[in-house]
Amino acid sequence: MNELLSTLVFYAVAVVILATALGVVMSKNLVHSALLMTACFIGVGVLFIWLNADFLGAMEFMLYSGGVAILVVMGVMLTKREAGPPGNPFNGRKLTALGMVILFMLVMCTVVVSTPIPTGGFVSPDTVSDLADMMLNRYILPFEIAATLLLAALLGAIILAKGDGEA
Amino acid sequence: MHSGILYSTAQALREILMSLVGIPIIVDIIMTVICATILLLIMATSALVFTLGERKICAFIQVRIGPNRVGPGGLLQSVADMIKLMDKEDIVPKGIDKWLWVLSPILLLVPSALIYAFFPFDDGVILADVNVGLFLLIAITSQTVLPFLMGGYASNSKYSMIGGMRTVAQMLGYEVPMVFALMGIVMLTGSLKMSAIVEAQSNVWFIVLQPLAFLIYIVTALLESNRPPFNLVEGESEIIAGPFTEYTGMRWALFFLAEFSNLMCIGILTTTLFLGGWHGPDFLPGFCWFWIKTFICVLFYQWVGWTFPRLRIDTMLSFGWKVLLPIALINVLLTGVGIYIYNIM
Repeated sequence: MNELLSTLVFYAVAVVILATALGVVMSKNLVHSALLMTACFIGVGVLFIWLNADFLGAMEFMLYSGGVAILVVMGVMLTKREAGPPGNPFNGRKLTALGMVILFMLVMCTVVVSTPIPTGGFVSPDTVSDLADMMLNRYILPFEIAATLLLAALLGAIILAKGDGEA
Repeated sequence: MHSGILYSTAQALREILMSLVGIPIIVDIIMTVICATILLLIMATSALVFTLGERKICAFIQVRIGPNRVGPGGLLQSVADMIKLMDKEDIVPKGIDKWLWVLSPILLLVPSALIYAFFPFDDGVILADVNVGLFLLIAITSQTVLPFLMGGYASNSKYSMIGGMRTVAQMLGYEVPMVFALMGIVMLTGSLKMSAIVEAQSNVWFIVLQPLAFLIYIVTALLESNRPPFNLVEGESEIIAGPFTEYTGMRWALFFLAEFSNLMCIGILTTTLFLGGWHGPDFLPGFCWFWIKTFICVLFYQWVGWTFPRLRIDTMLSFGWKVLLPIALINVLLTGVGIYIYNIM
């Protein structure tokens, strides 16, 4: 009963993710594509929570559907041309696209098949503390380097936004 | 083990259901449905109560009487308003993006309703007491930005669009100081679990230990829920009603249902994070203290809203980034130093 319910939830979420992902590609309207992408992000976040990875799920909500998606949607809305039909750029290169997709799938399948997936081991229920320990003890140097990089990006963005005269 | 009237009632109900149905998982489902229904009812009722409260308090502060015709002392005013809103013509403007326009007010309600699952109403009375409770709560709250922008864009009107843009600017801008302010609490508790945060306040409330974070939280909370004096998103004197300019009747009412639900949420969050949650003297049960504190907080937020004039959008944004954020960071530093000194002593 419990497993049946869990499987049902998984398939419901999977259908939502796949449908919205297809919608992103197929939609004729660029803004709709961007918003469907947000829905897809939320679906992935729910999937993480379904897998008991609460922290990753919350991260997905916060960073992807809360941050990245808003930037994308704003960018699309603001750069929309006033005249002419709003739309995704479509072209006729379907065969090339098919080839690329098959190549991509091959690479992905090889990676998935060749990666050893640990099963059965003990997983701590408190993943947040473990993650914090990892980040602030063992991997403190990469953590700090990433922080410095982000700071540089932040300063760069401010200087770019201010323009020549004021900076 | 948990104590408290609400918890024992739920336990008794579960046992009765168990003897009737017998299958644990079905009992679990029924209990969850009951809990969710109660929470949704609380949310819907809060809109009814707070609209009346808002108008009465506003009237009191502005030395007027306020609604006084419908029912005794105007008590039934919001019921009458509700009937009026449902009866109104549903105007669908031309040139809109129909699907986005219809979905926007509905989607706005979803995160507002979802976060009720993370509130500890009493000892052991919490629908989802997950490990990363506070973080997940903030993450879900941040989802309210996009529906506003969606509504603003789909309405195909310049005022709606400006309103949507303002929502994004102010909500994203003030989320950062809010998260850093709440970091102090998480550092003191050592956990993101909502029940642990309340548990840590059984002796001293966090308003005493984190006064700076409390002040920052008040400002950012008012702003995140679009309450005056920070309701620039819908500043009537500038952009008519912002994202909801083109909505009428029940669709418009949905925006307000979400707003009043958010008002109660920030009241509940202030209570839970800074005022000790359901802790209080023993002569009243825990959930009574919880609601008393929550209503005092809501009253306070409404009082603030009707007292201060609205700010200008650019001054407010620079206040968030240049004043609140550094103060919040200093608060994190001070909390760290404080914990270090406390551990040495």
